[in-house]
Amino acid sequence: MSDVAAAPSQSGTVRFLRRFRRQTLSLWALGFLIVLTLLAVFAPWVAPYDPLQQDLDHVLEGPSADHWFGTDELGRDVLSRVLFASRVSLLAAVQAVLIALAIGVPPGLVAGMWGGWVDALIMRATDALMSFPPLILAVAIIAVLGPSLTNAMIAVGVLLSPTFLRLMRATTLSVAQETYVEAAQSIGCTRGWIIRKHVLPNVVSPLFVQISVFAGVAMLAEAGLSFLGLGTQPPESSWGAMVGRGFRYIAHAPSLIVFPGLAIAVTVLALYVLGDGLRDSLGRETRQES
Amino acid sequence: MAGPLLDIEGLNVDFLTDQGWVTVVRDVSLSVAPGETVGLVGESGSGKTITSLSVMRLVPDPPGRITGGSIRFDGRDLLTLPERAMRQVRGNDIAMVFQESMTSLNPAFTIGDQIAEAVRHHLGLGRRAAVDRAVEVLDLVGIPAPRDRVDHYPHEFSGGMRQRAAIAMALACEPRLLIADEPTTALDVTVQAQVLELLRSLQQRLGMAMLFITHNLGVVADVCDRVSVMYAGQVVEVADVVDLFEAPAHPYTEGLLRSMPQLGVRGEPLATIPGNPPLPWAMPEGCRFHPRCPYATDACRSGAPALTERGGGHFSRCLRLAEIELTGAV
Amino acid sequence: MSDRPLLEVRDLTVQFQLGGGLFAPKRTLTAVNGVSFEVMRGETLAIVGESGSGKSTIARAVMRLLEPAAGTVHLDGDNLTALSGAALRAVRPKLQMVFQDPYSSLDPSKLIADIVAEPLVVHGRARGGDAAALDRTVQTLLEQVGLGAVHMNRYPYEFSGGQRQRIAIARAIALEPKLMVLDEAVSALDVSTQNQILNLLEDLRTRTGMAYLFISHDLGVVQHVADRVAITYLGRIVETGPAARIFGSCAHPYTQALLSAVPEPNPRRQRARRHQPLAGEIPSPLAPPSGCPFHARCPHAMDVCRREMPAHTAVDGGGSVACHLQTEGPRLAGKPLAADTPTPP
Repeated sequence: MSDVAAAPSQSGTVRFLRRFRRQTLSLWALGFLIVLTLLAVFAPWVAPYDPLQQDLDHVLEGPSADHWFGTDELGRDVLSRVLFASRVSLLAAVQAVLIALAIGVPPGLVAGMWGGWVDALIMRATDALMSFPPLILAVAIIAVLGPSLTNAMIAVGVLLSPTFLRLMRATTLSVAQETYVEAAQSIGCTRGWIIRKHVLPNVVSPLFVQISVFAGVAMLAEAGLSFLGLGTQPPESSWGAMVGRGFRYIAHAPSLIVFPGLAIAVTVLALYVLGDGLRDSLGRETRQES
Repeated sequence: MAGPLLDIEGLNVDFLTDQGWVTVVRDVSLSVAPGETVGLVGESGSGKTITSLSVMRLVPDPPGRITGGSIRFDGRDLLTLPERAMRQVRGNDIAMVFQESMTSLNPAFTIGDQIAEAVRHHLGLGRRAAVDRAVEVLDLVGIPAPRDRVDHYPHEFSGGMRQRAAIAMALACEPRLLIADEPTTALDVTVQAQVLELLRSLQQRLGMAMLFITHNLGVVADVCDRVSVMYAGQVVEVADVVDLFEAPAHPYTEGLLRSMPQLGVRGEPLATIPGNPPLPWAMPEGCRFHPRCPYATDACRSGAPALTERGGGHFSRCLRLAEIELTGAV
Repeated sequence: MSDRPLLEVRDLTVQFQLGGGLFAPKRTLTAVNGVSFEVMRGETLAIVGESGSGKSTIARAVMRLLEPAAGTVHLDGDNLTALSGAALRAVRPKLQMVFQDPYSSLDPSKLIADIVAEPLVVHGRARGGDAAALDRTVQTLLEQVGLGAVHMNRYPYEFSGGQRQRIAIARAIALEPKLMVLDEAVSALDVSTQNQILNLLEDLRTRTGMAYLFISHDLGVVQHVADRVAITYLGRIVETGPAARIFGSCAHPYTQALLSAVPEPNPRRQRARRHQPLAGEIPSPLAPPSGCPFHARCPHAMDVCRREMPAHTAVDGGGSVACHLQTEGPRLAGKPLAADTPTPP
């Protein structure tokens, strides 16, 4: 019985990485997101100007050698503001996704694992949540909690959580029907052990795809809410808030909305492309025969 | 005897895998005479299903590719036929029955509609005549009350009835060759016996030829006239069915026959073929069976044997054929 | 103590609730209906049946992976049907199971070493967390099934079906069970691999003295491995007896039909013994026929078969059969008149 494949053993992670390496477009997207994150973290050192420093002699200027992205209505450097705003936008997306995961994953797991009336109860509650018009629900949550970035992201997180819940329930349901779960039960494993050791490791991969895509969705939602003045409050600024403020000067200085707008578009696109690449690299192992 | 109806010569099929291009069917030759039933026997991964799909030009591409050989049906090479003409061949001249009948039946249409559509397409019958033909073939395959059953959906049929309906659909256009790929493997033994009996009687009545793909030697003993045994992508033995069972000429065939549990003696270990079939990207040098062969010598490790005739239409791919004595299942 | 059966199943009934949606009324499917049998220590009892016979459901109910609707399962003195939670987990080491599909019975995200070690770890037999000792135990287990240390740090996807089934067997014997439930454990394998696994199982049984509950549809395999056989049809046992009697002179028309439906591996003899196969298929367990469950397909069915469920009666040569021909039908020389015993394959 020595005829196992000659290639060295690879864990799921290694095999995933090997496949992911072949996804050129996704690699570019990942590279872009890494650079963006680094720029956000080191914004105080990278940015050419203080983002709050006003220069009323140079307002609403177009791109120039001094100000690559131009200046805004108070003469502040747009490039520096975009860099600093990226911290807010990225953090907001992370916040929303974490909240959505926290709300969506545990009940999804429970619903998929336990089934029966527990499942029915959780799913009906989810249906009720999803039957609200999303924007109105978000505005309602913000109206109760008060307009702030965190509250806006709580609203977005709540809105995104049903999808995580459903995804988690569906994958848990299919994993729970695998014979290896039955085998674990027959060995005498407790339900908690089975969830920790056998279900969770096999349901996380589809979750990563959804996280990547939803980070993009959250970023768009943040932009939308901040554009409406329900998210980021001045003097802090996110890309969405910048577009919202720049909108007033669209005729005089289109660069005010073009650059933060581009930042949003490219980042969201990168997140979507990354999600696609992850999905394509996470294919299930095929059988060895024939 | 007239020339063969189906004549496969030197067929090669490659597949793209994680390990690169590998040859899963190598230099396979096979012929089926009109009215004859030929068994194609092998374990999973032996290439038997890919060979049969090649005849229908249904090898999934990608990842599969037919890279050589010819498949002549009634004198025409199917591999060079334009796709339009090939579509006429499929269903009309050659029909196929699969292991899982649900794959060939569309759950959204009634059994009658599906058979009638095939008949109208291939035989150019009118709507009324096509439905009549559907009833006729359902009756032929032993489905009770066929007039009523034509309006039923596949899920309303039991497993055995569904396989009968799939056979009816395959037979509706009176093909000259029926390819049956493990048609009874998913069925219970009592139902398997019914379907085998059905195929046998239909073949006698309609005079069609049959290529019967299976891993089950009992089924081969029951229905086949001639048998080709495949191992690791190659044909290793071709023989008349009685010869194959009583005087096998390849150690692999002998191993398969001795492995039938019915032939074991209680209290003694069952005969086995040691090891596992090779993976397509790690084919052994020389004879592909040598790592598992009890008769292998150094010559077998280096020289690849050719399929040679030992007389009476009995072919074997074994270097030591003249030196070893093989026993069959008597 | 030792003459008492290891496993004693009495009047086991398993039901499933189907439907129960908004528009579909709830329906009850009785998959196993009042089944009784026992397995002695070190013995192999084969439960044979076609799909829909309830044989796999019996296996899962014995394993308490399903809740039986009625009946009791005693293993080595413990009433499994009365246990739950921690008490049930505590007796699990005594009975283990090997499943049909070796591709889905091993967690794809785990190393072989962890799969085989898991039963030891969850039952606290990992010797105080000594990793090296656990590794040695796992290696010994793998060696017992014909694998070895080189396979420990590999993933299931790297193994063929037969090898995976060896790994599943190593996991099942880790706790040294007294009873192993084998649910179609070799039917997904190729002929040559199948025999390797059957020999391994036979070898393990002689070495450890465990008993097997061998669930199978393959009479050829059963004939070789079973000490006793129980034939199931539509959720009931219709005939039981020593393997030699079942394969030599079976008493139930369904058993006869099953035996004669298996093609013989010899073209001359197979073609000589061919006869009209049994008509029809197993009826739906949602609408079981009245009386004897087999009467609609039985070539010898009488009026009484349509009305009354036959009781089990003892048969010469051991075991019992539930068939009216034994008590009501015409008999000749102690055998039912119409039953022509097929030659054993």
